[in-house]
Amino acid sequence: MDGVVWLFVFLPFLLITFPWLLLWAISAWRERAHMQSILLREEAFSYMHVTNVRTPPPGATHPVLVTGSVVVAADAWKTFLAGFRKVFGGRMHSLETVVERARREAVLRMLENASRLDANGVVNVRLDTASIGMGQALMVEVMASGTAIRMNQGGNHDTK
Amino acid sequence: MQDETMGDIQLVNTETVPGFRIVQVLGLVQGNTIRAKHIGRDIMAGLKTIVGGEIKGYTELLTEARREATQRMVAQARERGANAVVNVRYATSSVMQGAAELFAYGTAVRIERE
Repeated sequence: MDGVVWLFVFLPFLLITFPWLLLWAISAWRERAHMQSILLREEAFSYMHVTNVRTPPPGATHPVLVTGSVVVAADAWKTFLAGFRKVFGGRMHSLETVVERARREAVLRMLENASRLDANGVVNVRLDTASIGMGQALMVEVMASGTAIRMNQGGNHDTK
Repeated sequence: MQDETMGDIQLVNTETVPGFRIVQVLGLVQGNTIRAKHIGRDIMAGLKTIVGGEIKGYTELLTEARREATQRMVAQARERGANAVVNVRYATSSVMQGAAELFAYGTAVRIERE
């Protein structure tokens, strides 16, 4: 009798839930690792003067166009949660974090390119998001572009 | 995209070039390219939607395509005798399933050091 219960109740239950648990664990772990890496690198670039003001501050020199882009996909767990959310409507928090991380990653890559040019500021930062549809799953490309400049630190950034 | 300075042509996405003065406006220049991802990459990307995260193949592909669009824009600017392109903008549109158009445009100008 116990064997029958095991075979027809617990085993199917485990077979169904285990992959989802695994997906959830992978998803959460990868997200946390990425977020930590983003925070570390943002800290390292905190000396950079980054704005989306259109005109460079007076005294800026060496303007160069810099870009950074990234393509990210949501994992199966997040896609599953989003599909569930579609039924009731409301905030898709699981997908929001994916796009947010992508955007911050794109900005960081742009800053990396700027720092390679010895710039200490990036002005007129633009962010573009393009959806690269792959069936059900969310897949987006985020691209950040701006003008890298060298400027005096501590100077006021007049917008005139 | 440092190599996009393309030697003599200065690229910025601001309306003015700091330290320089615009002496002549030569009009709108543009460059585009349409790229398809190849099937091997598509399969890998499909697998990647299970575990999530960055799809490096696509990132590289789009970066490369964007560089080409920029090069075309710069070639057009050079033809007109410009030495800078200001207000550079990028756009991406998916024109059909599995293909994307990368588009760069800006205003070709002649600049002089102030």
